[in-house]
Amino acid sequence: MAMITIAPFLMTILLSVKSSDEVIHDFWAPPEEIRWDFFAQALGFIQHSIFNSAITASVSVILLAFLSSLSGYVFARIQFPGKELIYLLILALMMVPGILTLIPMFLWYKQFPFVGGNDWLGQGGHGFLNTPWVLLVHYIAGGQVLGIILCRTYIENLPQSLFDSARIDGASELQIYRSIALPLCLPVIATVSILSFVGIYNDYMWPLITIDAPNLQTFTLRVTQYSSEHAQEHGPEFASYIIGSIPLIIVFAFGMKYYVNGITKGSIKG
Amino acid sequence: MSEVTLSNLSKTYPAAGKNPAFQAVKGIDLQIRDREFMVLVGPSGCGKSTTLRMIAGLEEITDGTIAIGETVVNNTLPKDRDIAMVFQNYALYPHMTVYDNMAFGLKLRKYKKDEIKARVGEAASMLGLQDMLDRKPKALSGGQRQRVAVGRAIVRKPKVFLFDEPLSNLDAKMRVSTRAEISKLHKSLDATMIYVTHDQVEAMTMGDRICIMNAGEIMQVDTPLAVYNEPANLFVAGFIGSPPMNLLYGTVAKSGDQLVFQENDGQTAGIQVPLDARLSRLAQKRIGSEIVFGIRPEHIKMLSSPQAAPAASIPAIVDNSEPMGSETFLYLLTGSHKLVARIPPTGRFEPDTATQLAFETEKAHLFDPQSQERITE
Ligand SMILES: Nc1ncnc2c1ncn2[C@@H]1O[C@H](COP(=O)(O)OP(=O)(O)O)[C@@H](O)[C@H]1O
Ligand SMILES: [Mg+2]
Repeated sequence: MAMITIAPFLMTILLSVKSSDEVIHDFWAPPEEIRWDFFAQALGFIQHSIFNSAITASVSVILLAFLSSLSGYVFARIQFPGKELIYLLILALMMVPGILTLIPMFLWYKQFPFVGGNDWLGQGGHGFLNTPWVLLVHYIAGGQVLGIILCRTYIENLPQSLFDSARIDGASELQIYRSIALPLCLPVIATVSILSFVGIYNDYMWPLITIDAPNLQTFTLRVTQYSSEHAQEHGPEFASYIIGSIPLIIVFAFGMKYYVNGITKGSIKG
Repeated sequence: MSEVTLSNLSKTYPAAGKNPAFQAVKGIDLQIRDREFMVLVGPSGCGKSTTLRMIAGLEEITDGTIAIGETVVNNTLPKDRDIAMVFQNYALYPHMTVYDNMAFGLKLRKYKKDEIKARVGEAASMLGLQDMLDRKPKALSGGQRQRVAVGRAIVRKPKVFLFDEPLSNLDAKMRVSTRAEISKLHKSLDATMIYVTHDQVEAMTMGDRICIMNAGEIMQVDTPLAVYNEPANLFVAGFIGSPPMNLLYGTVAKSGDQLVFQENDGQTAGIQVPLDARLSRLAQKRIGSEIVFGIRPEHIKMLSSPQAAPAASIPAIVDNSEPMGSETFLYLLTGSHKLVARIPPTGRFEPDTATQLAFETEKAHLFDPQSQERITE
């Protein structure tokens, strides 16, 4: 079974360093000449889009992690009327397949009032379309759902006496969030952040319908254009995929370490 | 001055979902004196924690008032009540070091760094925590965590300390030693302490006074010995003491010109206990009415041989015995009651054998089963 998963990776690596002629001649044979120049070409072609994607994903993740931990805290600790109803609606959001709301979502961002030349009825301009906001706002709003649920559950399961103790120590509700709840939530937040980063970075559909300015293109948009622009050589295309995965690998390496660090915190002396 | 005064204090938890509203504390009055060690004791669910949490300001007061010193604090925030609380599960902040746990409250109160360092250092050396200041709570034993929780309370030098069953997560041996340490701490800190426990041994050994609670009401408030020797009612008599006081239900009867306690209304085979002059005086007006005769296990004596038995001896059957080492608890059956006697460890009694007892009636008590109160002159 593992082979089934690993084979495409190996294929991608092979394809990224072999010329098209060689690939057609014998698919699995080791390359006669490793074409490092493919990587150089690929880099030139996609580096700006990788930067776009990485920045979009990072900014979204930082904000959604912050917002979901704060909302999770509010849902867990603060009583207000209609709380459970609102929470139920948030839960329901998670159940709706994104593809169902794609068109309404698109129209909503396009016709957002007073944005991008729109009047108060959302007419006359392009709204959020073709701006970085269409990605950031969408990802932050959408990605929060899982984060809110996980953070709320986690904070609710912390012992009540922890919060009582902090209140007696003199902490305000905001200080309790910052000094107690937020640090204790970090493992949860790390998990949500990694999942969100990967999801945002890999998203194809949303940027496809909302972005066409070349300087705003995300990695997923850009990389699919390669074959239409360069018909003969496929090597650089596959090299692009590999280069494009590097940010994900970095996030995993860093995030996982943080995650493991989070759960074993305090058990280590010093 | 930091006495704590509870006046007509009530707490009703509002109905939530399927649970109806519930009155956990029913209008209690209690005066805790300056620098007193007051223990609130009672069975689980009797409202001890609720009372303590209201004093701390963690629970809203439904009715009545709480004053600390001269000030009514009903609407004062917990942080402004000049109290500190130690919780059963210690409630240490898991992501902070021992030092930061103790310093947290001081930092929030904007103390100077040097002052914080001095206070934490002082508390740490008082509690033997100097070498653990850099550790996280997870790297500490239960006893050490408990000390950190106490340390966190004392660095603030509050007027009133509140403890909610702080020893119940410790093993038996740690509990005994920590008990003594908290008592010592009380003397050296010279502060008012209110201590909640369900363990009557803790209550007896630690309290200047004990407040015994049951079902949201106060049953008795007095010194440990007074509570033991003069229980105000049947509940206290049955709660304080281990094993507790034997309580026999029966009637006051007249036998010749003497008053006796007759077990079981005289219906089934019951024992008769002649009442001495003091008890007779108490029972005089109750001839023919129901009464409860209370006698502590240590006030029951075994008579060595039936022949040697005086007229006042009481027959019983040995049920079983529990040797404790320094003493033995002997369980005995009379007419319809099971009694326990505390006898020297040398006493050997086979189950199911008949034996003779003597009650030290000068130490016995009479209770009114209707009002549940102890009958006094
Ligand atoms: N938040 C609450 N909501 C409803 N009922 C509660 C709540 N807290 C405690 N109670 C009830 O109040 C009673 C007293 O509780 P508590 O003061 O914790 O008892 P104790 O500390 O003496 O064991 C119990 O019957 C308990 O079930
Ligand atoms: Mg309790």
